Amino acid sequence: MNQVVLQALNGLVVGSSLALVASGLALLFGVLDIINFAQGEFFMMGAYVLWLVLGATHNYALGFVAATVVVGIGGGLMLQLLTQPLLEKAHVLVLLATLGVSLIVQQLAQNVFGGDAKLLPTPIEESVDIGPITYPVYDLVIVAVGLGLLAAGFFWLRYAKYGVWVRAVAQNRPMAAILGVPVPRVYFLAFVISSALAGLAGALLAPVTSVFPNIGGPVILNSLIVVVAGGLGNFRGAAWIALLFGEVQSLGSIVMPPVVVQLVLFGLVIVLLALRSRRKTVLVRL
Amino acid sequence: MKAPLLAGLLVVPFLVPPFIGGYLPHQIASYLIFGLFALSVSLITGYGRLFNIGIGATFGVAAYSVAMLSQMDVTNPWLVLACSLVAGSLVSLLFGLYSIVATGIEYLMLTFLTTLAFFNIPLAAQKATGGENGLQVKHELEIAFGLDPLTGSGFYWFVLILVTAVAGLSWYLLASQAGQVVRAIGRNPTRTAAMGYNVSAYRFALTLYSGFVASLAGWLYALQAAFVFQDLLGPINSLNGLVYALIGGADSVAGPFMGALGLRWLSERLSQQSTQSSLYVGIVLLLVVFFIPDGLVGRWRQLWQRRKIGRAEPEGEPEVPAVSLAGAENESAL
Repeated sequence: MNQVVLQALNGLVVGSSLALVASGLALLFGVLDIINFAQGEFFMMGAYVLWLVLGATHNYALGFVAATVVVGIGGGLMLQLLTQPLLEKAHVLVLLATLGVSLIVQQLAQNVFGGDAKLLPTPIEESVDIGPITYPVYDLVIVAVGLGLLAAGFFWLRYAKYGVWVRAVAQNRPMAAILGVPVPRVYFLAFVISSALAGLAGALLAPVTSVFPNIGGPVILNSLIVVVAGGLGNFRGAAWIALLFGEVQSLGSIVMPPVVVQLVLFGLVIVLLALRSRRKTVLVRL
Repeated sequence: MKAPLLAGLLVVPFLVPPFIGGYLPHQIASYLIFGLFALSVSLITGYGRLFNIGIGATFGVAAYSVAMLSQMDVTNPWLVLACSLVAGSLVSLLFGLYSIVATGIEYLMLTFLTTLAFFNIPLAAQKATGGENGLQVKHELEIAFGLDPLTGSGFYWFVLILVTAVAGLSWYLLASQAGQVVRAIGRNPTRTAAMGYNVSAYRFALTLYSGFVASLAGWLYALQAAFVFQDLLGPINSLNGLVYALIGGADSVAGPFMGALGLRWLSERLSQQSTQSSLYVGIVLLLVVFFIPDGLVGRWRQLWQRRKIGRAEPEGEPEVPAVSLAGAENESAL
């Protein structure tokens, strides 16, 4: 019983941080039909920015804000630069370009920061009793921040001016442009938001996991699975599936080896996607 | 004039590397094997326009089945070959199913997830596959028809003849009626379907043929390297194949071989001097995407065409748009 509660909470932590990365990917796909393979590296950069800020100031709040802003702006500019010349061509080229960037950034991080894992102290040491077990407060903070941001994102897409514009561009780009939506600005916004989400997720998780150059690998894989399973470009679907994914992975690992859980998840997603891909929908749906 | 030149070009690789000897035949044989793998990617991606980034699974399964059979002391080379091809074809059957139910980005994601799933299988079945440590190929002389990959030129000639035969067969098939239909489907599936061709059936057949080529490459790889490991099944190997094909020119038969030769040679040279190979692969990928999205062969063709048009009178043959991944002329292009 203790094991189940513990793993359920762990699943929530994994799921909510995965949801941040995956919903950024889904947003990007919805608006521009592109998949950013460098999203895992943005996650990694967020973690390193937090590490750098902590080294200088010991201020966690500043570190989280810096990770979000630096990765958001940096990643946004980089995506803008990459996609600008390729938008009129096959979207596969964008995908390969982001893949190239991901390889380069990973190697550069290795060169600059070294291959060793950097350990960060947790910002909140306390634990609380939840039913039969005690659980670190910081992990609960991750869940709260993750879920809060997802809810905020949902309402932003639904009611805010730019949120509506994002959905309009996703639904019908030429029509949105004719009706006066500033399409290039919406693109840039999508770039910045999706990078910032990855950066923040990386910073939030850094004290729990530790920071090393290859940290983005499993992140991008899991979030790709989530985005695919949630319906490509579906913001809410990605968020829900991410939570479900975290739970299945954590709870499943009680009864099966983690690799087998992973394989079962792959199989499920493949079947799901194969069944669903007959009807083609690429919208940021709500 | 042209025929003797071509024959001469064909004879050179048969004679020169064995004459130079040393490590060269072994090295070129490995380039040829990866070229064959890249050819299978270019068949499905360049001609069929099905963006498969998971074909490493086919290659890896074929290679793994050689190793696993040899661990079970199966030494009949024909049996090993047959099992390896059948195992690889089973994987490509899966890709064939995907090509029926999905196109575009969904197909791409399905193939990607498949190669990831196969990458994880060795970890789940440690005992049979060796897990993270990889698996040794035993009895490597017997299962390679008695040819030693490390000494002499026998194995090199064997690879060269096989590769030439498969490349020739692929070229012939692509030039045939069915190959033309496959190309037409790649350019515009809707229009080709409207002309009465069964798009799914042609895509399925193309997937199976490309899977056959990839399995053959995997089988040869296992014979030459005498060792298989997890990465062969995974996205890294799949993407390498794709990059070789793209650099050389994905819509040609010679391009993938040129890409594999150039890039493998480069990365071997670089990895001798430093450990930055993924940095260079990333940079090469970006350069290809931005500057030669049609690959080297495509670029060369463009220049050639321009020269011909420049020389001819204005009423000369109209410029045929090169079939390229960069063109957005067909709806199924991603």
